[in-house]
Amino acid sequence: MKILLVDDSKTMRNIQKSVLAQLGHTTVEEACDGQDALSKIAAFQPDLLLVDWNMPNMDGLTFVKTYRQTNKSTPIIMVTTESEKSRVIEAIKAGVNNYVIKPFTPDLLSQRINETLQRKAA
Amino acid sequence: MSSSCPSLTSADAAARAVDVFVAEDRLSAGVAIAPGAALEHLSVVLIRARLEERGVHWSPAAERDAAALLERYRTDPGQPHRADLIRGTPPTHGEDGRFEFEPGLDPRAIKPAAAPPRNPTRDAVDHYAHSAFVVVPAGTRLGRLLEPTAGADGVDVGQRSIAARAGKPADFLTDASLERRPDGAIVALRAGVVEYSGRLLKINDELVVPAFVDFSTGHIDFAGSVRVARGVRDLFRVRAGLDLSVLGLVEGAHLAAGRDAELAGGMASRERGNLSVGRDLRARYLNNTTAEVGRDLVVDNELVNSQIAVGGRVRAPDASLAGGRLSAARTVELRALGSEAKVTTEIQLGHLPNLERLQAQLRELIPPLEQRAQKHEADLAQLRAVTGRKSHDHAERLTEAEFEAAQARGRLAPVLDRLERLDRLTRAHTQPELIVHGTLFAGVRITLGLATLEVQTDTRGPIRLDLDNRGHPRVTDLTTNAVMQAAALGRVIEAHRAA
Repeated sequence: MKILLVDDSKTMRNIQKSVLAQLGHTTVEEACDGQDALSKIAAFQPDLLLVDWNMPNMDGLTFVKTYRQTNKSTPIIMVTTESEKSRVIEAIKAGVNNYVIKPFTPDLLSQRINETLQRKAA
Repeated sequence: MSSSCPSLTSADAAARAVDVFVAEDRLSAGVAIAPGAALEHLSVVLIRARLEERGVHWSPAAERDAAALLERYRTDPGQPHRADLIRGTPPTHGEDGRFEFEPGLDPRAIKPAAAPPRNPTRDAVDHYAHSAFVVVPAGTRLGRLLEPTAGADGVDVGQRSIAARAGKPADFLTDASLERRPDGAIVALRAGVVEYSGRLLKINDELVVPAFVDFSTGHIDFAGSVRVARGVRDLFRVRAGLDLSVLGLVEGAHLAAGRDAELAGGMASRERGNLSVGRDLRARYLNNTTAEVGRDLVVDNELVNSQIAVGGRVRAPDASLAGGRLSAARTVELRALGSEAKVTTEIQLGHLPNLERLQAQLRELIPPLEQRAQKHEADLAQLRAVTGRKSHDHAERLTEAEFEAAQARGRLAPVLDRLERLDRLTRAHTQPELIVHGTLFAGVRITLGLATLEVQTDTRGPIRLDLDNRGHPRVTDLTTNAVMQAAALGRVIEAHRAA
């Protein structure tokens, strides 16, 4: 399974990579913002995306909307500090499949990833 | 028929002058012409006729040779002349069947090694490494059994067949350790030493050394069992994958047995040799030896100045232990422990050195891991304590702290778990108990559990030393069953105060 991590914080990306490795997912690509992600996505063809909201150049929400214009099916989990209900709804409307609010524990992130993948399989 | 007349004048006389000889093996025939035969009657036809009278088959080559003979006679008729004119073909007898070894695998070809020179040069051969045995793994092709050949018949001068003798099959036997393949190949079905008597070829999964392990045999390294009829000399190595048995004395050698070992002649290695046994060891005595025994040790006579670690029990009810150190996981039974000369003798009961080493290594890992985990928990607690709406940076820092705390806990937990399992194993497989039938001498240092007893009084047995329910050492007089504290025998030192 190929997973694309989109977050401007290298520390966050490392944490997510570590959690993914514990779940057995080691084919991981990283992008530091929405623009970077768009440039890599065609070649990488991820099966799952973990996307931060607040990023320079292109934020997570804009990226999700752009991506969803051409791809409706690949699951996206938003990993962000944005916790207000309106923001959550906005993200879901844009096409996000699941949501993790920072700070999170590694267990919680694992749980959300598993949930998302199970729903996709179903 | 030959004539004695110096000059023959009739055709018959000429014919009689041509004498036919046939070799005993009938592989050649010719004529001899006596001197003075009538030249006008001598001819190739006459020679042919004489030969054919004797049943010799004429050949075209004989024409030429007969003519040459007559020419020589005509040149010098005063002398007798002879020539072989007809030749037969000898038979080619068949070859007997035989077994041919692959190069290097014939055990009869191994030459016994000479003893090394007194002052070997730097480039000298390693005489210890010479091997007197051919040891092969399973699947080795040892050689090929060649079938006998029929041979080819010959023909005598009368064109009669001379029968060839067919070769005989090889007098060659194998047993179940070898496979005969259709192409004649003989293949080993098991690993072992190649034995060939000249008749029976087999692979023995037990290597028998008929005398000493010394320069005549070289080091021994064998996957199966090894039996040594005499002893093992200094600095030689004997490794048996299964059982090892030595009837004679083992000197300063290095022995290893994967399973059981028996040293009927004892081992006196003068602190040069060592011994490693996977399971049980039985020895007449062990002097100045380092030994590791996986399970039980049985000694007949004595254990002197040796360093011995035993994973099971020590049964030596007729033997004395003096000097050196013995550690055993379970019961140790001796005739006498220590000596009147108060030689330093240490005995550790209820010990499994290998497990204890692992436990010590794990215990060393724990403090830094605990420290790290505590630090991360403290950082996390501090970050969590911040009330109110969290900034983006704070949220990320908190996530990072959660992650690091989880990592630290994840590293510590398996170490604690393994340590706990090792502790359980140690408790299950150890039984600190010492039985002395004869005398326990002063000067002996006995460790059981967390306590060490320095014996200060010679004590007559039979006695038993073990731990009571609270883990304190106690002594039982086996004659009266009276129980007393170990302090009655000497000084008891608790573990945290032991030097």
